[in-house]
Amino acid sequence: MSRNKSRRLPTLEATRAHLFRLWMVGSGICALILASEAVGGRFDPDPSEVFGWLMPNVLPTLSLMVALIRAEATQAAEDTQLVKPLFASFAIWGSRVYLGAILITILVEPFTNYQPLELLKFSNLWLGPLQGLVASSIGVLFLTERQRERAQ
Amino acid sequence: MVSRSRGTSPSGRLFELGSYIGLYAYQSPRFVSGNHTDSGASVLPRLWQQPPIASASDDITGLISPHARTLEESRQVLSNALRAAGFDEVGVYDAPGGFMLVTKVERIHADGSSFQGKERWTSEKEPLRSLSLAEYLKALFLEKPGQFRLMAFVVSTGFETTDRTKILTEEFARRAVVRGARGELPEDIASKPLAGHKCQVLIYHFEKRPGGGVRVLLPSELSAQNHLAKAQLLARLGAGQ
Repeated sequence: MSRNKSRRLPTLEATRAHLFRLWMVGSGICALILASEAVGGRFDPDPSEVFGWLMPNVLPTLSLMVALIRAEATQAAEDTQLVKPLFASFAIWGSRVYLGAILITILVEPFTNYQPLELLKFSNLWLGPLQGLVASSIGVLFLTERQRERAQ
Repeated sequence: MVSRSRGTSPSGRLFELGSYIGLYAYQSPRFVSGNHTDSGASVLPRLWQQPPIASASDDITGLISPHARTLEESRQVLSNALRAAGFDEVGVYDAPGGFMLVTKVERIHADGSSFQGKERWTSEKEPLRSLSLAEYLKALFLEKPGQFRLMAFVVSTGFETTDRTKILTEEFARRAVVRGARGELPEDIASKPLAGHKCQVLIYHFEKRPGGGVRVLLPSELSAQNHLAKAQLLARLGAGQ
């Protein structure tokens, strides 16, 4: 019974990989849309301003993930550490909601009265707190030492 | 004395400020006489000593002169054409030996044609109204915040050379029509013959930048004749409507 239950629990490694893929794809889509808009001249005369908005929203979390993945890249030992499903779900769904909110902010702009950059800057009102919640849960998952390291 | 004793409290200071403004307004010649001098002769406000450099300009004396003999008649020809093209409000200003009509800043399409309805007069971004995918993608990736146009019709004996060091700002342009006089020309210039005067149109073509800010296009991609044609003015002026 307990063996079956433990099989259903996600491992730390799998949860990290899932989150990393989610953030790479989500951030990539957002960056791609904004880059296309910038090429179309929508953020002239200073297109860098729009990336100045996107980068602080995704880069700190991505940097954390990349740094940890890079640090563990040479450790071939299999990870068996499990994560409570509730916490893993919170991190994954929180990330989905957060990245979705960034994407919606970018895509909804043509329907609003705001100028493109105005809306993006205004969105920090709701993206800021959301980022805090998501980043803290991701931080716990990525900064937790693996069992193998603790055993040593 | 009154203002000093009341000036200690916020309401007293407000009263004092109001008194000064009232006194200034009373003493200012502009407020005393409106658009009239002490001698009774009517004067028009002057917008520019020399107009800022325009996006496009042209001499349209040939369009006006067949339909007007005096300056007042030329104003009527211009005003009627402008009114028929949707410019209900036009500011009248002084110009050397004549006058100048300034239109409201209107939003235009890239081809120079005017927007319709209230969108024509707003500087705000217009949100997407159609749910077509093509329209949405165009708005998301390609839409520019907007282009605007102010037209000034100068009927004068001088004033033709624009100041190439001055650039018209959007804020000044938007206030221009409000500051101008309305209606007929003052008597002293209304009856002057049009002969010897030049009628010039100055087009100020603004482009709103996506990141904020507005700039005058120097030069405009369209000629002054094109702007007049797209604003439905060329044919009307030619017909003297």
